[in-house]
Amino acid sequence: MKGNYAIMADDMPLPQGTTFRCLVDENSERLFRIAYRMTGNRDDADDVVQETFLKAYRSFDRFVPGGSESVWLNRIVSNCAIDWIRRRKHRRTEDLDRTEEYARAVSTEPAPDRSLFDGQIRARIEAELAKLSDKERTAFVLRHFDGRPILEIAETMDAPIGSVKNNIFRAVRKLRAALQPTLGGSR
Amino acid sequence: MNHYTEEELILFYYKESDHGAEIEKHLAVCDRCREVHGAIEKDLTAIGNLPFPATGSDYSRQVWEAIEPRLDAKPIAVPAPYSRSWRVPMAAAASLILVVMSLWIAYRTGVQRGGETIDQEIRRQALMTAVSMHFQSSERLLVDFSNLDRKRSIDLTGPQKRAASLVSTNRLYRRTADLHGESELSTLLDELERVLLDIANAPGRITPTEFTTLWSRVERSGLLIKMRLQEAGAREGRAVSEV
Repeated sequence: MKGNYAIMADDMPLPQGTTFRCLVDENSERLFRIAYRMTGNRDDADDVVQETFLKAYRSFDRFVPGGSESVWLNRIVSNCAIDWIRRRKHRRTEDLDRTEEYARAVSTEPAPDRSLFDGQIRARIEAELAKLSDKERTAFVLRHFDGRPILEIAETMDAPIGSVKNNIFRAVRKLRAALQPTLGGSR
Repeated sequence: MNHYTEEELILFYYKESDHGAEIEKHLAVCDRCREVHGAIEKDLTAIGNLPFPATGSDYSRQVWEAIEPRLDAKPIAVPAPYSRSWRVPMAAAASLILVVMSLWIAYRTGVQRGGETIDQEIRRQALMTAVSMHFQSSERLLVDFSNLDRKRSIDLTGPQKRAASLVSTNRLYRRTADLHGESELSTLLDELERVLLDIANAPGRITPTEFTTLWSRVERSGLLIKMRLQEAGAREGRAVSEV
């Protein structure tokens, strides 16, 4: 739901921070889902969400109510997630091997057990998501998991529509290729 | 028979294709494309079904509690509405000048009549006249909005800029109406402000269905009729409730 922050801020004698609190209430879970898909880690996603809101708070006076808060927040959360991943790589070099760990943990043969089978799909997708480039991951996560139109993603990423589409196509192709041994879809 | 590429079918899956209806027809008769589309759908659905960790119903409260101590002590700046455009402050300033001029003329009229301060009725008339002009601009926006081409996705960026500009002016009049105890006029301006904000805050591009939903809200409010009645009342010197 879109919030009319201008109305709330302008017309009501709000206690300090209340207006921004509305923004947090309305967007926390959505941003968590984006951050989680970007980082692949729950704790990192929590940190990214908090960092996103802190950055948003500092630039709140630059938010234009006539504009789209989803573009504004998605731009911050995706940049925060990318920064976070880069910092994490520097901080914990072993995380560089995360995708390889996934790959080792996953057998290429489908298992008969359903939960194990689901777990394999999940591990494969998460491992492949981690391998995508920053732009591919951002475009794909915003389109596929947050349901944002490509036009809006282009605005969020400050990129041409054609470039966003190509990033999504590449991401889909890589993710489908990773699923092939398990789901066996036709290519 | 020409076949669709994987990329075109991916866009179709995301409902982002410009040729959605054609692809749908094609899929009904082409086994090969239907098979490729089915595989894309199967894979992307599997990816979309990936579970998320449970956050709990009070997740936003947890986030707030984590960030609140780290927020700056400085007061939160109220979002400066549309401050990136110089046109809006100009429009608001022009409106203010108009109101002040109207009140001054009314005052002078009052002075000439009896040398007394502004008569309440004259002040009200001055406000009504100024607001009528604002209503006319708003009506033009709503009429143009209703006439947008609804055959495919609708670009709202033009109407949104006009709506955003009118919001600032509207606030000024609403506050003036409140100040002078014009509660009916204030209510009408409040209704208009909500509609203008709905348009200004909508996505830049919406589907015909979303447009119909948005426009039906405007129609249900009867706003166009109310504004026209108010204008007629202002011309005849009556209050909104009398109209």
